[in-house]
Amino acid sequence: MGIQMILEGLSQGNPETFKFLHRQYGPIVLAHILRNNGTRDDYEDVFNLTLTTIWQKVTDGVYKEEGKFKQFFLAVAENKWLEELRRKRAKPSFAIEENFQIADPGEEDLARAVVKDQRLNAIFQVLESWNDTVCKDLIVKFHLEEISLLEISQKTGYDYNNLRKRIFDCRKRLEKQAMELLSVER
Amino acid sequence: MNHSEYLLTLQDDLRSYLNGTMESEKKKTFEALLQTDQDLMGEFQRHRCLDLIRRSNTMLKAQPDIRQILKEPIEPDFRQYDELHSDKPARRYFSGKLIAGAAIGVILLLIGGAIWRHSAQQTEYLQELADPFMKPYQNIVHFNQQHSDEAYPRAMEEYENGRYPQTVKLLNEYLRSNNNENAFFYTGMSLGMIKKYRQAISPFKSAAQSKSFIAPVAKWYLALSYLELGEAKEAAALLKELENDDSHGADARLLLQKLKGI
Repeated sequence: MGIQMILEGLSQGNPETFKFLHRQYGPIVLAHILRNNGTRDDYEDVFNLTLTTIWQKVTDGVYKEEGKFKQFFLAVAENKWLEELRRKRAKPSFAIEENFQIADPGEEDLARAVVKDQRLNAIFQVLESWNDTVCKDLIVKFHLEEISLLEISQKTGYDYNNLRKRIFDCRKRLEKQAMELLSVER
Repeated sequence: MNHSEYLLTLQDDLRSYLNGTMESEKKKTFEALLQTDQDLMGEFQRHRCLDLIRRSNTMLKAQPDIRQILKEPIEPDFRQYDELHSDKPARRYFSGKLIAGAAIGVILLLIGGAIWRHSAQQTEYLQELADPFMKPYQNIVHFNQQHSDEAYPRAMEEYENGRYPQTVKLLNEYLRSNNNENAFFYTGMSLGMIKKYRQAISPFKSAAQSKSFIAPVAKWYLALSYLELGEAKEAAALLKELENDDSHGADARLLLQKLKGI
């Protein structure tokens, strides 16, 4: 698979690209983790974080192709493992009760939120599972497509204040169902 | 107006706070309100989460596929890993003839280097060889938001903005109490960018001696620094080590070819 195909596949979230990268670079990344105080269990997260970070850099246009993709990939993986080691060291020995609050990740931590934040993934999963509901339509338009409430109200004919209340309730419903999903999975 | 209705009036504020367009004075008041009003904080978290979904939609969608793919068993490739991290080239790839050829090449280079060492013309030629390659290497260091005020992340920000003297200053500060091959590498890189090649040698050497993925990159820029200083022998020795490198092998062979005439 050529570099252009890899970059395109990454930005489109193509499973074939992920499979290729896992087979191509996974064994080297795994060797690195095993040689540096890690286990096989650490591999999945580190590789996933690496993929997500690189995807982000590719789609944001930060990555400049200079014929060094392999090196770039492995360097990012190495940094991700270093970060994980630092986090492990910084982790308190006592358990902290999860409060279901999402942190405010900057650009660098977006990848970590995507890979590690179960709440974020649950909310996304619930939203995806809503088939053609009014709530999904409103949330997608307002939050994901960033269309203003005023514009939505003009297009749909909903009263502005009712629309505002409706989307407020939809968000709460989404969160409630995500919590339920998480409690079932645990 | 009940509390839910009150929250509805703050929807625009939540959005402008999240997209960073809220004025600083209003932002302070709003943050104070967030700290004291649990319902508003809950609503903020919901907005925040959906904002994250907007920014990472494709990758969230891909997560189930990725997790599935990562379950496919793989075995660690220590051989390739060691080759990538080896300070010496993999000898088994060299035949006797190649070793002899390389040895003769090195001897010729040594003789050539000794004859022309003090020649300004030669230094100029070596600089011309190195200049097209002496470009800033992209930033591959990633930080968490929580570390953004520390010397190292600030240094890398300066590096990305091309402020190399500031990068060197901050990295030196960081390296006083840390040992980090990437920090050494970007110190060398920044010194190289302001043409302080002699000073760049030591940090590049530290990075090149590490077992990190940055080691071959550091070797490459170390070789270029030697070329910029007119020191062909040292450059050639490093370029020989990089001949089989995935990223720099082709360029290293090209430069070695051009050094043969010296």
